[in-house]
Amino acid sequence: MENILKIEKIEKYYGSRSSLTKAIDNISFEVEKGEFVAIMGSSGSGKTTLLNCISTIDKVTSGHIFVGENDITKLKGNALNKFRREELGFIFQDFNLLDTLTAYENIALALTIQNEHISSIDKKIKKVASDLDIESVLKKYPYQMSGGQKQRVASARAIITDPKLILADEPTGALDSKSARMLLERFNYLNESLQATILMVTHDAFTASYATRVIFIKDGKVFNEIRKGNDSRKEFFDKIIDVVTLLGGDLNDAL
Amino acid sequence: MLCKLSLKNIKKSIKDYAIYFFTLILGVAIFYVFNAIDSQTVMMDVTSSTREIIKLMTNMLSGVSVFVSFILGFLIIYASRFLIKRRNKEFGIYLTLGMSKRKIASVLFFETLFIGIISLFVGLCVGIVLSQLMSLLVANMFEANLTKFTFTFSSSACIKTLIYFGIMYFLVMIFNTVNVNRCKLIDLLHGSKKSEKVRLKNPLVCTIIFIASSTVLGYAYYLVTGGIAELTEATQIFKPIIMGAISTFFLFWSLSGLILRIVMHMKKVYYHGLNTFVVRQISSKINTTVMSMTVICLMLFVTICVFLTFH
Ligand SMILES: Nc1ncnc2c1ncn2[C@@H]1O[C@H](COP(=O)(O)OP(=O)(O)OP(=O)(O)O)[C@@H](O)[C@H]1O
Ligand SMILES: [Mg+2]
Repeated sequence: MENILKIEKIEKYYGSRSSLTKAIDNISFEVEKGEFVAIMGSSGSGKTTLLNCISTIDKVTSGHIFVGENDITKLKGNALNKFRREELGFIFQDFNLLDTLTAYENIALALTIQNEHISSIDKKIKKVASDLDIESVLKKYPYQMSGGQKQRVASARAIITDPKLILADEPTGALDSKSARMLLERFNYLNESLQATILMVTHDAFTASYATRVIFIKDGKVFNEIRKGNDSRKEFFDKIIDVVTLLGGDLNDAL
Repeated sequence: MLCKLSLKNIKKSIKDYAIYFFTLILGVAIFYVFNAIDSQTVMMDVTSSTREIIKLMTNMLSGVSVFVSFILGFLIIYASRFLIKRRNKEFGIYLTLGMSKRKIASVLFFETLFIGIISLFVGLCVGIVLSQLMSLLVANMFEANLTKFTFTFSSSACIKTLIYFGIMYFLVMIFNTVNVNRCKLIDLLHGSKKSEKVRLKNPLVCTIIFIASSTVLGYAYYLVTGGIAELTEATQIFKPIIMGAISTFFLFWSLSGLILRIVMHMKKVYYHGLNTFVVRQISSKINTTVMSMTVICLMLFVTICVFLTFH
């Protein structure tokens, strides 16, 4: 199977020499096209940092990240914009919707930046809105929406461009279990039917059990990795819980 | 779409920065009035010695108007830096969605253009109306007999205003573009979260400076109004102008510190402890308002100075 994402010995240090934080300490892994990977770890273990590096929001201190053939740690200028525009869909931990725009316009923004035609924009938004059950909030501004609705609008904005790689930081953090299930099922659909590759950070074992593989991170290093294989989601969930117990610490509190 | 984005952003910022727009419009108006005096007075029927004084005054006014445009320039740069900072997250979102920095710069460009056109247009209209009043005032001052009131429009003053402010807005556009090109995405997205401490000014220092600067300002106003008889030469007017300018600045500087304290104290009663975000919002709002007020007062002060000198 073709590798879509290849992470090679990346490190990310914060701070000066006197107070150095190794947020990522030599992580390597590969993700195949069409995989749905969850990344778990306790608070402060470096999950967000890892996602930021892959999404080109932040720069690694050393190491390489390949998406397809491209080494994205070396991308610049228009190539970088094109990569962000066409190959990435990013769902932020705190949504990052524009307060001046309605939900509809927020979602449309992703497509207008790609110079899509207005008529096809409308069609696509209608489709994604019904998939994520946000038709009723399309005319609302972010401050008029609940946390879960914002989360889904942000997700809609990320997936509407059919990106090759969807990166999501705690996408179910603000959702109740029904909305979470709906979003995760949408992820599953994107993953299975559209062959989208998804990389998702989460605290929650239930959310992680929707993935096909879970990577555990501790103190900036890969701690463990389990695959779903032919397990049912319930069995996979139990396995995840086992590793979480093994990891101990505050991940347990998060459940 | 870019245009629409810009328009939306402006609509929002007009609500937030009414005082900033007001200052710009007033600045443009004053600039026009000062430079239009020339053509307002040419057809007045006065003696040749009065004609000399009027000529001196018009020269001085156009010099002062350059000073006014400098102050305004600082205000615009200050305000736009502040407006950009407030919108870091917005630009970060554009970048993550793959918009190029060049496009973002052009969104900003359109915004500055719209703001520039609106403020220039409204300011010029206000200025033209004001300059009619001004010609009455000047005629009265020099006891010229206004044989008939004529509506005058000074095209040279208008062109000068357009050129000066055009250059100023152009510089702001360059400044914005450089600013956008320099930012890093991670800082844009998380910059707002960085603990950018709001430095509260020491209330004691504020109070002392407040008292001192109001005394000096009062003296400066006395000099230009009551004590003007002691002035023998026109150049001496610069002493009270400089005194007035500096004390106006410090007056508002200390006032902003005191106001922030008071507002926070009042809010604390309501909310029982404020988060830094709210404090930062309040303080930035107070800061721009105070900055605009300072500029308005300075412009008015300078105007008063110049007119009373020749009275
Ligand atoms: N800008 C920064 N400067 C210095 N240290 C940082 C910075 N950002 C993150 N860190 C540190 O890097 C480590 C990893 O942070 P990261 O945000 O990746 O954690 P996380 O796994 O996403 O946690 P959470 O589950 O709470 O979101 C933490 O120890 C954090 O303190
Ligand atoms: Mg995080």
